[in-house]
Amino acid sequence: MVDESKTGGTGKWTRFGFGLQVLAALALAIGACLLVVHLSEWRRARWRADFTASGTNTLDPQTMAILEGLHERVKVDIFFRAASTDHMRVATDQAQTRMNELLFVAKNLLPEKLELEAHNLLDLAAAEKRMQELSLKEVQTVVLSLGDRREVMRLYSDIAEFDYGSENPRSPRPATMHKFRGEEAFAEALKKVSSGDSPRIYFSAGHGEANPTGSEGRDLGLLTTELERQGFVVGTWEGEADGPVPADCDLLAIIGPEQPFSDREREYLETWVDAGGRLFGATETRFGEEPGSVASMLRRYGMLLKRGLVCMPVLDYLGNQTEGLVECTDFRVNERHMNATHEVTESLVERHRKLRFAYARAFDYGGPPEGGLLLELVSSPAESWLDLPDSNFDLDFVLDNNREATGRFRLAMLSTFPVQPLPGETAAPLDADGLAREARVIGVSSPFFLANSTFTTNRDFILNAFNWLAERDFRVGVASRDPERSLIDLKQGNDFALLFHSSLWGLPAIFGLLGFATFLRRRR
Amino acid sequence: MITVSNLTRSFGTFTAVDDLSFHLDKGEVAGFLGVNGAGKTTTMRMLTGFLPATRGSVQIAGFDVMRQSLEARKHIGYLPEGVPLYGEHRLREMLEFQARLHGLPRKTANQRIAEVLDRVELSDRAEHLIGKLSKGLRQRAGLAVALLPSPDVLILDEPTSGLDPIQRMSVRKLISELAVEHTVLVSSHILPEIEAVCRRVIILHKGRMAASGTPEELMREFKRESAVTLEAFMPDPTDAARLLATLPGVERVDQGERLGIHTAFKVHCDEDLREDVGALAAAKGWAIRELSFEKPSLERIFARIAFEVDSPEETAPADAPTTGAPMASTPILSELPIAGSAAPVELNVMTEPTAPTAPTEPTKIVYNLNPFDQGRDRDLGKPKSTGGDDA
Amino acid sequence: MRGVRIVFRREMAGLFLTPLGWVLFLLALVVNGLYFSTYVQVTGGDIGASLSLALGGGYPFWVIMVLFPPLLTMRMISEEARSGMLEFLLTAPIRDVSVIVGKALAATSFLALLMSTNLIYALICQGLGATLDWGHIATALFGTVLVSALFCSIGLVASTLTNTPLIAAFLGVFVNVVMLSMRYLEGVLKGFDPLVRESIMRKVDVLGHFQGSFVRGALDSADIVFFLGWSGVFLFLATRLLEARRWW
Repeated sequence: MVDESKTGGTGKWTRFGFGLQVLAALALAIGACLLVVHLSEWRRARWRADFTASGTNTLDPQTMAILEGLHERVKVDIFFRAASTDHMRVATDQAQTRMNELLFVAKNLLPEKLELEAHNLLDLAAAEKRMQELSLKEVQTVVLSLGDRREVMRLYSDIAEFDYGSENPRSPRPATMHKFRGEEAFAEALKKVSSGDSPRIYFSAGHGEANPTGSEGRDLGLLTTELERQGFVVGTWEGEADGPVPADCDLLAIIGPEQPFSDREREYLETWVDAGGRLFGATETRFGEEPGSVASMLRRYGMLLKRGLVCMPVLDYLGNQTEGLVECTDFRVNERHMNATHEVTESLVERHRKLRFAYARAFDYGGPPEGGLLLELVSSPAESWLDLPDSNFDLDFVLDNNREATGRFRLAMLSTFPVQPLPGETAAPLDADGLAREARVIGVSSPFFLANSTFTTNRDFILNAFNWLAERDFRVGVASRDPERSLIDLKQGNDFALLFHSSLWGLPAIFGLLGFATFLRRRR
Repeated sequence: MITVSNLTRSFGTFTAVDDLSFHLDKGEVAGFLGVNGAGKTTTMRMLTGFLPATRGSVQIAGFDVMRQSLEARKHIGYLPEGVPLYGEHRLREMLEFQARLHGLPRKTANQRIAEVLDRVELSDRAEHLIGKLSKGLRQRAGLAVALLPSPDVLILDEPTSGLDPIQRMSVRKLISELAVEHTVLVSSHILPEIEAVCRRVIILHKGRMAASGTPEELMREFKRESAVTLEAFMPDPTDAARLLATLPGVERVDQGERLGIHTAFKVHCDEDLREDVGALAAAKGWAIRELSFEKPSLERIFARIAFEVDSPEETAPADAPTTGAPMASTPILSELPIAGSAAPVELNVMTEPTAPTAPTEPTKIVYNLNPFDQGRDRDLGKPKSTGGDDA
Repeated sequence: MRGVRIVFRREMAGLFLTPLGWVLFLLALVVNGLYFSTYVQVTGGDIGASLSLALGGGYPFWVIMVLFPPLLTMRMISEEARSGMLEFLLTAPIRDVSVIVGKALAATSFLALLMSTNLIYALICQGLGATLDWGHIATALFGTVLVSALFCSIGLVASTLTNTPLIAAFLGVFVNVVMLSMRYLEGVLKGFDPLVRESIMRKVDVLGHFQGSFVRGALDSADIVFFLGWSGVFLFLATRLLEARRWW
C-alpha cells in the first residue's frame, strides 16, 4: 500500500526538518529577545520611574552625576555583620538594609559602573582574604576601590548616625538609627576614589617630627596610608638637604617638630607659602616661640600661640569631674565647638563628629594676613581652662582661678590670603581654574592631632583639611530621605486581631462562598 | 466547494492518507466510508486545516486551507470526532462562544442560536450544562455548534458514533435535512448511515480511495457481486451445479456444503436469475428450500474492500467444487431432457421491498415452464408475463 | 486581537466555572493571609514592609508564582488536545497565536486577580489607620502581573508538550524553578570577567529583574522589557509547538 518512492521524502525527515525549523525559530526568538533585553539596558533608551512616596529608588542627582562620571568600574565590597549585641541589633540591621538597598539601587541604575560584592558569613575565608587585600581591619564597612585607591565607609560613623540608647539593664532602650547618611557617604567616597588627581604632600623631616610611616602612637602611619588611598603622593622634605620646597609640592605638613627650623628653611617655607603654598602645621609642645618653631611660623598668618596647655576636667571612676590628672590634657571636642560653615568642619558638624586633642595649646586671634582671612575651626568647650606652668615650668592640671582662665580656646585655625603679584608684575598668578591663587594655612595646636593614636577619631577633620588645602572638594550634600513607615499597633487594641482574622478567615470564607455559589448555580 | 487534490499525509513511515483526490460541488452530500484507521479522520482534519498535508492541497470554497487558512475556516463547520464541547458551559454559552469565534454580530448571533437550536430540537435545553447532556443530545449540540455560523461546508466526523439506534436515527435525519443547504461531508464506519444520507460515497481503505461515486454507480461497478442462492434437494448436486452453470448470464456456480438432504449453491450472475434457476429446478424436479437473490449492496462492496477481498474465489471454500461457465452452452442445453408441455405455471414470488411495485400483495408472475422455449431471444431480466390481471 | 479577546473570555469563564480555579484561589488566599499576618507580626506592624514582602519580597510569593501558573495552564492545551476541544479551536477562524495568547492572558489575569487580594489587606490596614504608599503597592502588583505572565507562558509551553495535564504541571514547575534559579548561574560563571558575567546575568536573572525595580516600587523599562521579552519567547515557542503538534 505504501509507495516508498512517494513517501521517501516525507515521514521521518519531514518531522526532523520541522523540528529543526522549530528549533531555529526558537533560537531566533531567543536571540531577538536577548537583543531587545540588551538594548533595553542601554541607558539612553531606559526609562525608570520611582513610584514610592519617599523616593527610595531614586538617587540624588549629585550621586547620579558622580556615578555617570565614573570612567572605570568601582568595586564595592560590603563587609556587614549582624550586630553583636541585642541592644544594637535592630538599628544596625536597619542601617545595613538601607545601605544595601542604596547600593542595589545604584547598581541597578548604572550596572556598568559598579560591581557589588557582599562578603557575608557564608564565605568567611573569602571575606577575610578580601579584607587582607584591602588592608581592612574592621567589619561593618563598605569599601569602594578603584585601581589602587580605596575609600572606606564605616557603618557606625559614615553611613548612619545612631542614637545608642541605653544598655542600662534598669532602663534599657535599644539603639536606634536616627539618621541615614549612606547616600552622602557613598557619593563622597565615590568622588574620592574616582578623583584622578594625585596631589603631592610632603612631610617636613629632619627636626624630630613624627615619622610619616611609623606605626607607633605618635607616628603617622595610619595617616599616610589613608592619604595614599585617597590619591595623595606622600614624600618628605628636609630643607637643609633638599633645598627649597619642591615645585611639585601641593601641600606641606609640619607635624610637631622637636627642633627649630633653620633660617634657611624658614625662608624657603615663607617664600613658598607666600607664593601660594599650602601649609598644615601642628605645633610642638614646647612653649617657647623661638625663631624656627612652628608657632613662630604660624604667627605670620595670624595664629598666635598662647602659653599653657588646654585642659578639661575628666570623669573619675565615680563619675565625678576631677582635675589634677594628666588625662585632663587629653579631651574630646564635639561638633558644637566647630565651625559649621567652613567646608573643613561643616561635614563634621553635620555628622556630629568629635575630635580628640592631646597636649593642645591655644591660639590667639592675631588678625588675618593682608587681604586674607583668618578663621577659627575648632575651639575647646567652655569648661576647659588653660593650664599654665608654674614657676618650675611644671603643670598641675588644676584650674587655678587666680592665674588661669577658663573659656573657649581656639584649637585649630585656618588662614588664607591672596598671593601678591611678584615684583614687576601687576597681576597675581592664577591657578588652573583661572582664579587668583591663594595661600592656605591650617594650624592645629596639638602635635598629636594626626598621630596614629588619635587618627581614627580625627580622620575626617584631617582628611577634610588636607583635601581643602590641596583644593580637592569632595563634599556632597544629599538631602536624606527616610521612608515613611506605615505602622499599625500590634500591642494595643484589636487592630492586629482584626487584620489577622479577616485575612486568614474572612477573605477565604468570602471567596469560598462565592465559589460555592457558582457551583450551586452551575449544577444543572 | 471542496476540491482535494493528491492529498497525502504520512505519520512517520506510516501513510495515513495516500494520494486522495476528489471534488464536491455545492449542495453535495458525501460520505466517507472506511473501517477504523482507514484515514477518514485524518482526511477530515486535513480538510479543516487542523492537520497539514504532507503533500497535495485542499481548497474549501476556493480558499486553500493551509495558505488562506482563516478564510477557508470561515466556510467550514466542523464537528470533530467525539463532539468536543466545553462541559462546564451551558449550551447557549457554547453557541455564543462559537458565534464570537465566527465574528457574528450579537443580534445575528442570537437569531442564529434560536434557529440552530430549533433545528436540532434542543430549544428547551439551551440553558442546560453541556456536561450534563446525554450522549445523543450532546451530539446534536455539537451539530448545533458546527451549524451556527451557517457554513458552506459541514464536515462531520462520525456524528453518530456511540449513539443508540433511535438517537442515531434522529441524527441521521438531521443530517439529511442539512444536506439541502450545505455541502456536507460525513464520515462513518457504519454503512447504512452513509447509504441513508449520502448521494455520494467515498470509500477509503488504508488511506487510499478505494471507490467513489453514487451508491448506484458503485453497485454497477461492483455488480458481479450479485448472486442467486439456491438450496434444494436433488439427486446429484454436482450435475446440478453443472446444469446451473449452463444457464445464460451465469458466471460461475459455487457449490456449498450439503445441509442434510439439501445442497446450497451460489450462482454468480450479473442479474436476478431467480426465475431461470427456479424454472430449471422445477424442470428438474428439485425440491427448493431457498431461492434468493443477493442484491449488490454497498455493504457488500464495503465489506469486500474492507476485508481486502478482491476476488470472490477467496471466500469460497477451497474444497468446494466450482464449475466454470462453459465456453459454449449450446451442447449442454441440447442434452437437457425437456419434460412436459410448455404450459405456463404460476409462481408466487415475493418481490424485494425496494421494488417499484407495491409490496403488500404478492405479484403474480407467469412463467413459461420451458425456459428454453425462446431461451436465447428472451430478455431474462424480465418475466415473460406479469400480473394476475393481465394474465 | 479579536481571537485573543474571545479565547481570553472563554478561558476566564472556564477558570471560574471549574472547581480547580476556586480551589487554587482559596489555597492562595489562605497562604497569603497566613503569611501576611506573619509578616505584619515580624516587622512589628510595618504594613508597607509586609505588603512588599507579600508582593515579591518573601519566598511564599515565589512558591505561589512557581506552582500556580503551571496548575492553571496545565489543562489549557493538554486536556483540550485530549478532549478534541483543541481541534475545535484550531479550526475556528482565529489564529493559533490568538489561542495561545488568549489562554496565557487568562491565566495571567487569574493570577493577577489572585495576588491583588493583597490589596484587600492593604485596604483593611488603611482602615485601621496606617498610611500606605499606594504607588509602591501598585508597582509591585504590576510586577507581579509581569512575573505571572512569564510563568504562565512557560506553563503553556509545558502544556503543549504533553497530553497529560499532570506531567505538564510538573514540567512547568520544573522550568519555573530553573528560571528562578538562574541567579545561581552566577556561581557557575565565576571565571568570567565580571562585566561579561553581569551582562549575561542580566539577560536571564528573573529574580534580579523583579527585585531590582518592582518590589522596590519603581518601574524600569529594562525590567518590563525583560519580562515581556521572555514571555514573548515562551508564547512564541508555545505557538510553534502547537503547530508542530500537528506534524507529530
